[in-house]
Amino acid sequence: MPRFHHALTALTLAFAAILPAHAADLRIGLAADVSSLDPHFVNIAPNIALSSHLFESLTSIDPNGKLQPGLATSWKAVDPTTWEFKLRRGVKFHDGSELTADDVIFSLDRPATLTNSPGPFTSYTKPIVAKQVVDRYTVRLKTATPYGPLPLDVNSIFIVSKKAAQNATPEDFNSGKALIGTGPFKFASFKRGEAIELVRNPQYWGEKPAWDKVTFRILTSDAPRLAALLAGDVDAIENVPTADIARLKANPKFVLAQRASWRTLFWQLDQWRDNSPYVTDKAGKPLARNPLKDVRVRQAISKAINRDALVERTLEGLAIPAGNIVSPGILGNAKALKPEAYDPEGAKKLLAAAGYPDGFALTLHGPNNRYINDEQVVQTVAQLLTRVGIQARVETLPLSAYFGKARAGDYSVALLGWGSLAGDFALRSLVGTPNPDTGWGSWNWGRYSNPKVDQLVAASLASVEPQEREKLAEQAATQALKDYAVIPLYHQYASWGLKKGIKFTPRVDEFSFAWQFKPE
Amino acid sequence: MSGFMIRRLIQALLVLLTMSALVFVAVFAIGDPLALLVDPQADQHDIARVRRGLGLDQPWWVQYARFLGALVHGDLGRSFVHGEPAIRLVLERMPATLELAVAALLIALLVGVPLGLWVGLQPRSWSARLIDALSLLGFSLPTFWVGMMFIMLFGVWLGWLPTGGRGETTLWLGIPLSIGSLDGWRHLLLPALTLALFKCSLLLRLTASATREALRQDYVRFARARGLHPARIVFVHVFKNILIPIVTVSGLEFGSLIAFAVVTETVFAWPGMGKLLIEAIGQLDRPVVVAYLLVTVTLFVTINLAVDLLYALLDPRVRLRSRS
Amino acid sequence: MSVLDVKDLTIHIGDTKSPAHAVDSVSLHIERGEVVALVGESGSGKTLTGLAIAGLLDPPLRRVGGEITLLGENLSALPESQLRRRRGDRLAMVFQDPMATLNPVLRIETQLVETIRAHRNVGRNAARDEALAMLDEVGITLPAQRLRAYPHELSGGMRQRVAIGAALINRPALLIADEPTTALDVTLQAQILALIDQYRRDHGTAVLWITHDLGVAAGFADRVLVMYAGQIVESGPCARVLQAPAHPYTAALLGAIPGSVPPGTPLATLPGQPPGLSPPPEGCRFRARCPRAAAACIAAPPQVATGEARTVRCFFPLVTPP
Repeated sequence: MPRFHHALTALTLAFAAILPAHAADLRIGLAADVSSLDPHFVNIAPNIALSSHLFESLTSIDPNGKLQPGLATSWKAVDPTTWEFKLRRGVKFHDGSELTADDVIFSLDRPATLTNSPGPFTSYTKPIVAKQVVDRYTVRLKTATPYGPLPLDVNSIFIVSKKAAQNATPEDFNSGKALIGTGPFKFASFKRGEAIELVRNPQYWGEKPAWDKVTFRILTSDAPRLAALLAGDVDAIENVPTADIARLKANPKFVLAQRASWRTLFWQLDQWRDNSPYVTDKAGKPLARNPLKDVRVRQAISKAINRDALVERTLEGLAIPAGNIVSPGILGNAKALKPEAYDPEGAKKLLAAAGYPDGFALTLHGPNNRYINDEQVVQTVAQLLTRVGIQARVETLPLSAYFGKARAGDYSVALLGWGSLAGDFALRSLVGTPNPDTGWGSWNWGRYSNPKVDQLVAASLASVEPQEREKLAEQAATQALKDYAVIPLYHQYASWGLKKGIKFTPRVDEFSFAWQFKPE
Repeated sequence: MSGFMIRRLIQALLVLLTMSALVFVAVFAIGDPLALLVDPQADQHDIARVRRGLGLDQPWWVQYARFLGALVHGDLGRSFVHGEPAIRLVLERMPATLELAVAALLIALLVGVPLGLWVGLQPRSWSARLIDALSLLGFSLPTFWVGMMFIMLFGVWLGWLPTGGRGETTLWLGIPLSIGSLDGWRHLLLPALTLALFKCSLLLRLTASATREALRQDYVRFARARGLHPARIVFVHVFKNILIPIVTVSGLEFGSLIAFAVVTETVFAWPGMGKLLIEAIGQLDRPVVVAYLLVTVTLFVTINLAVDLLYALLDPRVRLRSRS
Repeated sequence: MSVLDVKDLTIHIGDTKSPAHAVDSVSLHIERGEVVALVGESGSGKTLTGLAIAGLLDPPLRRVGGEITLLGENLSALPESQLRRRRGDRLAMVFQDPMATLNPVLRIETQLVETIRAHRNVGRNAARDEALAMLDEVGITLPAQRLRAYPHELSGGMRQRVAIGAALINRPALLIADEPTTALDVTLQAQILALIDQYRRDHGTAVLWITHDLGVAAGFADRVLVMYAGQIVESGPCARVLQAPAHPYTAALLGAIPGSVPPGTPLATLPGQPPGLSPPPEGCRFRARCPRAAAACIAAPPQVATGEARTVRCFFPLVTPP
């Protein structure tokens, strides 16, 4: 009965078309909300992480923090103030058009046009004083003075399609209209505050991701995020809550992935005032001079802190002690600088030599909702200091109140966590002599100032030769830390939870990219 | 009647104005949003430029005056963090919160009132004592804990229901709602139950005490003396009287449901206004905080008005204007 | 056959170990068309007697003994579901406070119609007509308008009339009225009394009128029963008892009526309080306050018939039995 056969075949085919093909889908639980899909709108980590799936930049960062080719296959300084980038050929945007130098120039110009951004990307585009299209696949970027970190700076600027993004508003991006990039994924849907769906870009020039569809679920609260993983509602989560790490490790159905991240925690100390607001004698009266200005006192404080105990107990093993401001493997991390050994006796001796045999009193300030166990860290350090004679009080605040006051210089000893991919950048902001015109020392709360350090940092930034730059950066760091410009504590761990059957490569910059996850 | 409405309207506007000023100053006083959002590499010039661009360089009263001026045109400013108009962000999330609050109130009414009636009618029975004790529990358990317990029980261990999020929504008159699909119901159930628990206990105890009070009244005795069926006495005579306090309290509680849905929304990652508010406060995103508050105050005022009108409908002794 | 026949009604309050003997062996009967006044001070047990007859005693009140017969039917043996059918139909009760007796959130019409439809199969419109007629009968002006009104829109006097109307709407054989005029002023009182009087003449309703005011009983009741501390201490035709009381307590009550003594003379009052009833005192319960008390009163005096259809519970009554 041929007619029956035909009908049966047609029916079967129809069914096969209706049934979904076996799709490899990934669902990730994010710990912070994505506020906008416009890649140039505001410079916050969750937005950057998401935009990285749809867009790319000239350079890329590998999981260990090292600069790699991106949309540019190579770059070099053709002269001390000119960088030349050669673009990859045959790269297609999501709408099929080809990537050219015009798109690059447009993308580098765009951040400056977004005037209502609270955190614009202009600090990365500012060093570029002139842009030149050499040919369809080559651009030249000129800087005012020799500037080594330019390839790292351009990593922060996503390349958008000039055609699609011209005159596009942030609303156009959030609706998907202008979301035309070159990235491994294409936009599918955006439910603000809830979930973002992406689908694989079949025309992607690079390694095809293992997933047909990726769903990012926004789960900002710790316990529900973990519950979603345990229930199987998501396949992986970032920022496993510290209290549940041991439990997750012990659970055979899940895998815990960890590594030391770029985030380093350290103390900023008031080194510019003669009378520091929160430093007094033990009776509460002001002292003749500010003890924090004496390097021996700063060293004593550093010696008084038992970093191993801090890491083991207060942080439950979720960090490694630090002797540097940037994490191991990052440019500017000097291997020779070891974490300060715990030496309470030595600390007491130094304090006596500096003229404080009975110690003094101070208040430690820090946030209480920003870093892992931040409040407990401040309290532990206070206890350790008290043991060597420095009577320490603790005051912690929510981040929204803390940062403003700390940046205004209200505190004497304040905790800060810093994530950086370049040591010289970090030093410039943290220990460079404050200069409102140049932007140096914008996070140097203690106003530490050492012309030698400034010189080395400037030289490092001006060095367009990578090896030379590394050496100078390390020298600058060594000089600053010998001076105890800041007191490093530890490099924080980042942790991810995954269900068994997924392989994952953790990144030093704490980002969760879909292509780091691969089915086993 | 119209005089009453006009007075209420003026009242509402005054409340809105006062609230907006208070919030403005409060968020201003907490800290500087730029300290949280601006790129660490930015120099002082960049920061100053951003500050000017957002109008944050002016003293707070100038900023407030500008805000009022824009408000007259219906513009509540743009969110610092999202870049989109603040009022749009809040209104986008409002249906989710309202749906949750309505579902919770309905559950609380449908469970709390009948049980409360039972407890009031048969106070000495063991079932009534049990329900009474359970209602005390419902009062005292913190919402976050209850929510997490539900998630662990139904989401993780049993795997029957999702652990969070809103799931599928269908459009009803252009508004996305969860009740239109089975998936939506599955996502709505646990958060609605969590949010309903406290209100249910409250309504249960209120109904029980109101019932006990009503049963002591002379009109109940007279109704019995006239030989009316017990069901009629309970469901017509008693019920219509206890409806008055129940409606009043429900109305007031509905407002607080909307406001305190924050915790439930956080636990269940429910994309409502409350969660938006918490995040905005943490990021010092003032336009969003102000927009949220203005929307909420408007809701409260409307709810109060509705309750007053309903009260007048139910209790013939109260009329909004005297009859001639 | 009497309309109402109560034999040895006994009511206790409270737990079974030491209850209060609130009503002790009360017996009474009411004939068709007769008004019997049950008189006593607060706490004498008169209201409880009325409630017991209507079957409205709730815990901790308990009827522990006695028989109540209405139109030949033993009410005390009936389960609640049956008793309910008699209430509002064969017997009815109205209470003291007109302000609270009607449900404030229901219309007058509703409350009248529901009483009809609870006992008879009458259509809504027919019931409405009956209600309208009843309002007219109890003397409410503009009855059609009042029907749609809510209780708070009527005065106290009108509300009491409505309550009486609701009680009588099914033409009960017995009406128990528990101090229905106490809360009203004297003029209204007179009007309500006249209304009830006329009604019972027209329809032959038996009326048990509970009051603390002997003056009300005069000129209205056919017979009067005086209650003290849970017991009937005297009974008889109203005019005779009031003219020549037999029990010392009745005499004291009469002496306490304003107007019974010349103006300027202080009213005679009884010293002391009624006795506590858990347990009740031994012997005559009036002994402690009686000016005529003697040694013999330590024994409980029985209720004794003294002719002329009168009874008295006293060893030394004021009127000597023949």
